[in-house]
Amino acid sequence: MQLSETALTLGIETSCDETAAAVVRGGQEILSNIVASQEEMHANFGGIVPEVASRRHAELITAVVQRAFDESGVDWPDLHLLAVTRGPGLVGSLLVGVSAAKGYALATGLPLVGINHIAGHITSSFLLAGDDHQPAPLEFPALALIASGGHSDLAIVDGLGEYQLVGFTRDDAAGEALDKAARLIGLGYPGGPAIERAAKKGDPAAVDLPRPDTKEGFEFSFAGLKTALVRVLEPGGVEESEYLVADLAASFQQAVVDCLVRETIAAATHYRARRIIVAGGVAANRTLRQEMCDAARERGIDAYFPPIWLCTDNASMVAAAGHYQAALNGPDDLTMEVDSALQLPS
Amino acid sequence: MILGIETSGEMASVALFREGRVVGESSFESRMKLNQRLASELRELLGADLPSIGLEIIAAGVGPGSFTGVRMGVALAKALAHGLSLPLAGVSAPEAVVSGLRLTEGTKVCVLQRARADEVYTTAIVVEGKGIPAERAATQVITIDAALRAVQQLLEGPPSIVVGNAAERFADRIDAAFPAVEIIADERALPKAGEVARVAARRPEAAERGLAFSLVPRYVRLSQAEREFGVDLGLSGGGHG
Ligand SMILES: [Zn+2]
Repeated sequence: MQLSETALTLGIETSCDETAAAVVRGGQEILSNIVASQEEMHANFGGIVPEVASRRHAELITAVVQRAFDESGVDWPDLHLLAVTRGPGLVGSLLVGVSAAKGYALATGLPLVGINHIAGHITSSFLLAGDDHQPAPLEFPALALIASGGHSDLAIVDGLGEYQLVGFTRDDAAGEALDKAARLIGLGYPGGPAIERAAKKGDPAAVDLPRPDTKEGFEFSFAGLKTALVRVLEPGGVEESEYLVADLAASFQQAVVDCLVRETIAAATHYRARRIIVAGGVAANRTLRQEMCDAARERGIDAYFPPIWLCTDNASMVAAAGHYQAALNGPDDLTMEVDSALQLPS
Repeated sequence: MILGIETSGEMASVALFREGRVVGESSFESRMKLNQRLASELRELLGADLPSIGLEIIAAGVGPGSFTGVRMGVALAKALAHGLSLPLAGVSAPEAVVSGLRLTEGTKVCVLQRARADEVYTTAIVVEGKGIPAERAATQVITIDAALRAVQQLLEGPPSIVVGNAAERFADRIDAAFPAVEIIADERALPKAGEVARVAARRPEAAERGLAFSLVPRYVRLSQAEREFGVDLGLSGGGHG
């Protein structure tokens, strides 16, 4: 379908524990970006509880959309497109966002597109995010690493909206590994930021941990890393460990970062990518940012990261992905299904 | 004109209600297919040019019943009301069931819906003027014996009707507790969108634009996580009885 460079898209994102809505102009310019995080609530349980997340989404969704309007000054008649995440994610959470989006589509007659959340994360690299931030240039192919609590994927980006999966994790996602490690060494939830904080004063070489390598394609495997940490902590757990918490955190973080950088650089080299873009919650990690940039530069390419507030789940990336997808493939119809295991095309 | 949406049970339905009667209703199996069908059934019912058909109120069934089903219906109804700037009304599944029985003022009803294991969702209702079902207490989830005792107390006497998809299973116990009772367990025991709309029509003052932002499903029970961890996040939804 035809979308002008000033077309306005309302994005809705409820795939995990953030209830989010945003208005984006022309697939690039963020007019509002509202995220109602449930993080504090889920901290009560030491992790995300799907039933609790779904309840919260159903409670908040319309109010969050209204706030996205209030902050952008946009209202229903101004919009051209609705975009909603249809997977991957928690099925009950996805169903709330998709149901609301369909209600809005019915009410307004606006076209609706269902978005792959991973495609959304990739798109976040191309969003304008303030004067002091540089979005990734539109030069392709680029190689994208999407690393979060739910996914660790590598994708070739051939253009806006043209993404192909070339690598993934065999077991745990990178953020999931960090969450599990944080629990093992007695740090809080969410694990990624907790590990990063604790690691600041630690020695990344203090604890000898493996760098699991599947040797097949560009696949990650983090389960073995967690098992190795369990073994390091045996038999008395972190209280009786000979290692300092800071050293444990720094060493584990380093191992995860090394694996992410190794496979990303290998894939970028193999596919002759002109850029590397990194997105997802784990892309907020400063060690990853530094080491990915350094490793990429050694090979003569630049690595781009969205600002931290766009690394975690948000609806601007969904709106932007919606703009490109609708322009390429047209809208979806009202029978659109959710898919909790949706993947990028491979 | 009022649009009713009911998604708490095994059969979901959507209906239009105008001038005292249901003028269009369609129902379909909810299991696994609800997301795929709900919006397209609504488009079929409402036609393509929705804003021009003169809708005045959106009425959503809030449960209790299937957690996911109710959430989808409520989320869609909230978005419809928000997108159309219309008042939204929440109608409970027991209210919709009792409305469908067309009872006279003063009739005492006990609604028993299936919950988990040996428990039932229990609601005590007295029919008021214009046939409006008035809940004597918000729905509880308890064992059948506790339910029958509670209902007797809330209604200040035995109900004349026990209705709901759990009524048949416990018919012996109900008969023993309330000898003169009528038990209704056929399709009249299931909430329908037309009745959701009818209840909203009979108490239009309960419909508000603000509910497009604040309406919550009636779950009755805490989520499993809340129970296990002993915290109440206030997500179980309230009644309005
Ligand atoms: Zn994500």
